Amino acid sequence: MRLNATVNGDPVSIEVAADARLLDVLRETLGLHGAKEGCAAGECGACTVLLDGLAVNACLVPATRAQNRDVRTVEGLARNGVLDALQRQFVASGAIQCGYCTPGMLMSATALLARVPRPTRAEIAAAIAGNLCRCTGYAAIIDAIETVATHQSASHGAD
Amino acid sequence: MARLRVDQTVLGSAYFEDYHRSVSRYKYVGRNHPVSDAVGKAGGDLVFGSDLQLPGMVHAALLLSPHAHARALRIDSTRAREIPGVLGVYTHEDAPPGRYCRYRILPGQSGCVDDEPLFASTARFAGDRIAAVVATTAAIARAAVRSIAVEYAALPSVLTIDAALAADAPRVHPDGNLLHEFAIDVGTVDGHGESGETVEIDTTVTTQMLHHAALEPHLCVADYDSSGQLTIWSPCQSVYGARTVVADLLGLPYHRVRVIKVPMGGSFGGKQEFILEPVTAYLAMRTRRPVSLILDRDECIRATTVRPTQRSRVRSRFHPDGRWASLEVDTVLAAGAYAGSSPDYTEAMAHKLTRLYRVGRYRHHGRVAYTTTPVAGGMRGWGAPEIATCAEIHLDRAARRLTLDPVELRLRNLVDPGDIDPTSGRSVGEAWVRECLTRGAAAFDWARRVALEPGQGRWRRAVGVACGAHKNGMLSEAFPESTTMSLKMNEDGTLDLNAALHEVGAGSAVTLQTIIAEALDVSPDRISTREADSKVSPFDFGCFGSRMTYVGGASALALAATLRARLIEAAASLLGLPSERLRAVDGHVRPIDADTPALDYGAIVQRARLRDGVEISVTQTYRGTSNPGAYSVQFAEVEVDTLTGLVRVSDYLSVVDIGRAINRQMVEGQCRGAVQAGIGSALCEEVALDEAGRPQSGGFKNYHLVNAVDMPRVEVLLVEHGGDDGPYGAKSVGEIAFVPTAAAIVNAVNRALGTELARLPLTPERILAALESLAAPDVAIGARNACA
Amino acid sequence: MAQTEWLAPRDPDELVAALRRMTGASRIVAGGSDLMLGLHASGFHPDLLIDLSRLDGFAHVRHVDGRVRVGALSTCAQLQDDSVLATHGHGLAQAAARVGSAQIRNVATLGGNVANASPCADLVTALVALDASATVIDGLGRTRERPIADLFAPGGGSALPPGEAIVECSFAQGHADRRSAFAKLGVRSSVAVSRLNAALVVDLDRDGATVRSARLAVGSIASAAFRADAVAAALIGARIDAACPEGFTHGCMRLVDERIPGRPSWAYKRLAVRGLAEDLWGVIGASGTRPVGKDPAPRSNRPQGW
Repeated sequence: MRLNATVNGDPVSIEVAADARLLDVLRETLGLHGAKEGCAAGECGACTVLLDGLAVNACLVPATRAQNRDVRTVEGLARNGVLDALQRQFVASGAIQCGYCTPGMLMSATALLARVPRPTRAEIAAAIAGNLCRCTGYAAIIDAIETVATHQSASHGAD
Repeated sequence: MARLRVDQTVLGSAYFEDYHRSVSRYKYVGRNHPVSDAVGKAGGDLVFGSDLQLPGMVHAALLLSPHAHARALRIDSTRAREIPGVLGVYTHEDAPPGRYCRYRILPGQSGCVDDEPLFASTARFAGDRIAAVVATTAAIARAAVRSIAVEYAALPSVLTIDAALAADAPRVHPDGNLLHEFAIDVGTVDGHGESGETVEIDTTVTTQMLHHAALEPHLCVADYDSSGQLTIWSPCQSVYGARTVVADLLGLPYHRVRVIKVPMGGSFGGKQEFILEPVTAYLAMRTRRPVSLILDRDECIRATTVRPTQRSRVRSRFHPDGRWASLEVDTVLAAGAYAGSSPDYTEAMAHKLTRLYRVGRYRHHGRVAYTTTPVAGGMRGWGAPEIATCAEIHLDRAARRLTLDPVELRLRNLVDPGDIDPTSGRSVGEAWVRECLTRGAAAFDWARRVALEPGQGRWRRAVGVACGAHKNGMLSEAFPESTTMSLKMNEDGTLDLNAALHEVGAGSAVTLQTIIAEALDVSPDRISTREADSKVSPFDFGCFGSRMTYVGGASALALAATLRARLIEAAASLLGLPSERLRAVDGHVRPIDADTPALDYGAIVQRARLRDGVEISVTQTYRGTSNPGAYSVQFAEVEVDTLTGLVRVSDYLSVVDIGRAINRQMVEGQCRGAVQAGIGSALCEEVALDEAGRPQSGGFKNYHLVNAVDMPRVEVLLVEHGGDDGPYGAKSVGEIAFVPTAAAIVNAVNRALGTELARLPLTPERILAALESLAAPDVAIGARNACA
Repeated sequence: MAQTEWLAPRDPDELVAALRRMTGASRIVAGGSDLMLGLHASGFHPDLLIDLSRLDGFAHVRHVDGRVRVGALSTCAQLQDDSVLATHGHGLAQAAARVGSAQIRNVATLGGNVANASPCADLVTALVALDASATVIDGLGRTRERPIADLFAPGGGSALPPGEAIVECSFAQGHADRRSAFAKLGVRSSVAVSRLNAALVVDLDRDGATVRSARLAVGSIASAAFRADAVAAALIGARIDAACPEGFTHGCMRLVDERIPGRPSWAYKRLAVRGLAEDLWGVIGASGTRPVGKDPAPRSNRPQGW
């Protein structure tokens, strides 16, 4: 069937199988390999992308679900080749080691901060509970998200 | 209770003096540096192995045995071959007959047993490779695998070490199940002999099969071109090892096999051995197409490699004051279906405790047996966590018997700097484990917290401590530690390091950049590194054995020193000044008396090349001459729910004798990541087998990694005294940081509950069962006597 | 491989037309979190996929004529924060908050959780305790309201035949001072499959503190969650600010003994269910004061400051 969707701000119109996973369409048809497959069962979160702003596991979502909707992947975070605040802070905080969980973590964090601009550390941990990491022990990742939230809230005059 | 932070008031000023000294003495060493490819990882555009797309690339899938031990009588692939898109189905019938050792780095290497076929005609574990399909898409390949019909004749399985070593055990391989046996007897009984006044403690501890759980599944890509060149892209830990194994098996000369290390989404030892490289290379040669083979999570769990299950009986005699008189360990370890690294792995276990404690006489008997279970392999710590878990649980029992504080008992036995490890005859070097324990105990407020009652309600709380020792590189009687690297300076003063680097995601590349940057006084971002490529990288054994920083770093430092000397020599010639009057500072070579202008590095390279034909580049081999101890002491607080058996790790302190942190942020990341894995190994991670020997399925749904919600806050305290032969005094961290974690948690749980749990993991089932037997006094006393 | 046809009905008429075309090899996708996993793992290609996500008006939570009506396409993420449920179906909101990860809760639906008929489905246990019924529509456009329990086959799995879809679940608002709670036990405190789960609904006396009547549902120890009101009867007359009555805890243990004697998990679950019983009671005592979803693992009885 024909899938019409917006992916990282650009309209796409492609042919997809009715039972194709969104992850396969992103990675294979659209060449967006940022979302990773770590378990194919919605347990590790490495394939997390945003569907109309909500974090979802692209390995469990039918590609057809993206019809006329907005998909955002890690490739869509940077603007004009400049990493966004979360990406930069992940780099600076040491939140990235092997990097395989990073795209999914970034998308879960993006969804969280859109909904809860100033989360507590416990809320951050809960938001990334579906994103497994074997390298960092999560602390640097939570630090990075907390740092961005603090700066963004401050720059928007919120507290 | 107010939470205690690791701050100056608790630690005293010594820690901070150390810290400030290290950050002020060095410009780049000791600061925070992101991993070298962090930006590409954040942007999502770094190309991992699973992202590789080659022209004409096809996809493979494996048929794995569902049986633990069975002969494949007939493999019918007719239906599979008829599926459109299938290029071929391959089995033992058409594969090369040779067998290989997945652990081998070099031909002629001792401790390697060539027992693994490319495809099995007799499956020796549920997960053994029976067939492979190559097809135009991965989905077609998997569908074709499902359509292959195999008729099996069941053989008796051998699922436990005891079953394997039984007198009339079914044989996993023709020569019998006992794969390796050794005995060590060193040292002398300290003091007045083994009997007399000493107290005997006897414990048996079992540790379980674990999955490495790198988030990136195992994969390999291979291509065999018309010129006879085989190229393998693999997220591996040794390109030269992969080359050796593949070339020898497939009968190719070494110069026709090129192995390129690609970015790796974590390994933890799971990608140390060569599991997919041989089969993928074979499929590429057969199909003459680039082949990509990517396993799914269940396949990774059962068909790659696992941390072995082992059981160690630990018997000690202690003097009444807590000093060790003698220690005797008897270890049995299940290798699984193929030998892999298990013989060396088990031997490694016998060289850890005497680096940590003065134990009097030390005897260690080890046996390794084949079993029809998933293949055991190297995993973070390589036997050190297993033996530490056994010994540290044992020590806590000893402390109870001797009515000594667990910290005090350990303090009476720990090694001091310069002690000789009796099993190797080598110095433990700058071994500051005693300081790790005393500073850690102060920071954790151990003395106060250990005295608190666990409580009598539903939740019980207690603290636990454990120590661990590991190594720095592979240097031993059997292994001459060395590595070769090249460093070239360009005409703009930037540098290219060519070394067989295997970045596992722990920052080894940026560590070498930082070391060279410090030595040459240039910014680390002016130094490029590249990952290992057996065609172009100088030889190196690979990234394992805690050798990256201690050996690789020292090599990089020596390399930079040589290059600096060349640079000064060239500048001396250009300036007409003696070398002794010049020094390299801030990207320039300057005269010491400063009345002549400085030359920047780039200008020296340009002018030396143009005027004198002089090249500012160095290739040299570094040989290691020491292997000091790596140490960690860890403190855990747990809360146990006595109704459900669930344990929450509520507070944690990891202390590491790091020598010198080259990259503070990554060192701390290694420590915290190790605690994540260690909690799992203590409480919830296990590759469980069913009665038929089949590993559990269900991926991460049934193999439980600790997630962000269940992670405690982990404080990290680094003891930095430098010394030894590491670069700027640095020692290893990635493996040692994991060594004592499980034991610290088990000891805390046992203290909270008054139990003597010694079989890992401490699942809720085991915890409730132990509490039940405590509640039934007769049983409990019986159990205690059995352990004593 | 045969192509899978895809239909995404936008209104009830289109849904009925699509249902009419279903065969045994057709599947309905609600959230997809279970279905897509199953399809990918098995390599099965359905002849027809009916995607319910385009349907308008099936993701509501309404309080109408003394019943709380929840659209089958409501996601767990919606339910956990729903204000109607916060007052009238706290146990269901709590169950929704404890399903999987944020990513799963964003797609997993109430109807999917019921239709998938897993023995450990968290929402099902909460619905069974609430005495809920489901509205089912078939390919002829007929709707029927059936007790939730009727949707599960006796031997396990769904009793819903191909060609029928759940459109709504509802339960009576009931007594003015009703409280409900959900508790589960997994290997982790969050993102874990229930090894045991249970839901409790109690109606209080006029004093607002004494249990007048109680209903209990337990999941993961049978092919589907089931009611065990006889066990809950031990709570009648108890004050919700008092300790968990022993009769209730022991009743829960007996329930496990009756249901799964001799199973490998029996020895553990019979003991662990005590913790679940206490957790349920703790939530009942504290409900109204604890925002759902803030604490994924309620530890209401946990002593503080020792």
